[in-house]
Amino acid sequence: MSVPSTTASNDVALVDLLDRVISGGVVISGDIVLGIADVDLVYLGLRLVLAPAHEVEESVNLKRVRTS
Amino acid sequence: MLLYAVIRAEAESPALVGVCGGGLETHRDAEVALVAEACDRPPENSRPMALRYYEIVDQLSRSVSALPIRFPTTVGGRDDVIRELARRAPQWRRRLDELDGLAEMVLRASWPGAAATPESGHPSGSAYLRHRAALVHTAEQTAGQLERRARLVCRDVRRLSATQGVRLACLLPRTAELELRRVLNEWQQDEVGREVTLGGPWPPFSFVDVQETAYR
Amino acid sequence: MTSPERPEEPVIDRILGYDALDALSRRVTADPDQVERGLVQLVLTLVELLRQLMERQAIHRLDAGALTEAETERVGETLMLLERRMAELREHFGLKPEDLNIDLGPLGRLL
Repeated sequence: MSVPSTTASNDVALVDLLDRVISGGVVISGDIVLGIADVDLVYLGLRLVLAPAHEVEESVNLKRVRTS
Repeated sequence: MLLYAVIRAEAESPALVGVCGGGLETHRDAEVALVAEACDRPPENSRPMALRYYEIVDQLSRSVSALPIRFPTTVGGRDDVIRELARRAPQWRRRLDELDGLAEMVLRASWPGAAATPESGHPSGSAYLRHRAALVHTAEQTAGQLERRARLVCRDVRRLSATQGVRLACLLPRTAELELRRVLNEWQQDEVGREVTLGGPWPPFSFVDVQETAYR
Repeated sequence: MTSPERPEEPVIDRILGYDALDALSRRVTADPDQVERGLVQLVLTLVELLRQLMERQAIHRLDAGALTEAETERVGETLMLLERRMAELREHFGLKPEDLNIDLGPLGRLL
């Protein structure tokens, strides 16, 4: 039995194709991109977590000074 | 601006209509250029839209050497585009030369019992874990066999995320498709019960980076 | 990538160095049902990620002969129940397995 042609296994090939189009390809990142992640909450959350602790503290203190 | 692909600066992109209904424009830097469309708002992040996007990128790839861009990538405007071009030009130029005339096909393997359907009844914990382990072993073995065969024809082979089954991406000239099918047909005959389906050829989305990452 | 000094600047913007909240509000829909669905998707994806990692670890140990029979039984049962529960939750929220794959932008997809 020969390898099925792409037309015969259309649905499966489509899933694989779409997967490549949205998961592969050149990635352009950084702040020039308007909305790169499905769930921006996750992206922002990750960046928040990765920011050094002292920066966070500093920002919080500054905010307190300003609002007091 | 919706971005479609990276091409050589001196290349002429065919006049194509984009997903937002506008014409594709070429923004050139010294060595490379970006093909983009000025959309009023970012395109809908849906399957039909992604498919339309793919068709346009595919048409583009058939006329010029192009690095397809992940969908959807929307940037602010021309200045952003030019800045990104300047930043990545040397690596992009190099990769464009390396991928010139090459396309991608995705191999998807299956074998009896590959679809790990939840077991009816109540297997013991041990039985369950051993069954899962057996699946992983067979998957690994199958992927290894397929890769070895594919490399007879493909310039490069990359394994795709294992969570969606045994899938491999193959980089090859479009003219080599028949040869690949022949080689895989032989594998199916040698390994009775194991089957492979092929997707593509389409632009080399899985091969735009030089480094092979662990997960794609 | 420094942000300008403004008296009312939110903490999050100072950390990230740009108008993050503005960028976010442009993207996140105001529809509560969609927001809930997005959060459910996120949570289930993370649980699925953990399940896969744990399963991989367990199989690795099984192969290395580092699990006693009792441990194999216990770990196997836990993973089995987790997989079933995941399938139930997915079905309850109308999510397909391929929906549980968050795009982290430049970091790629989670699964």
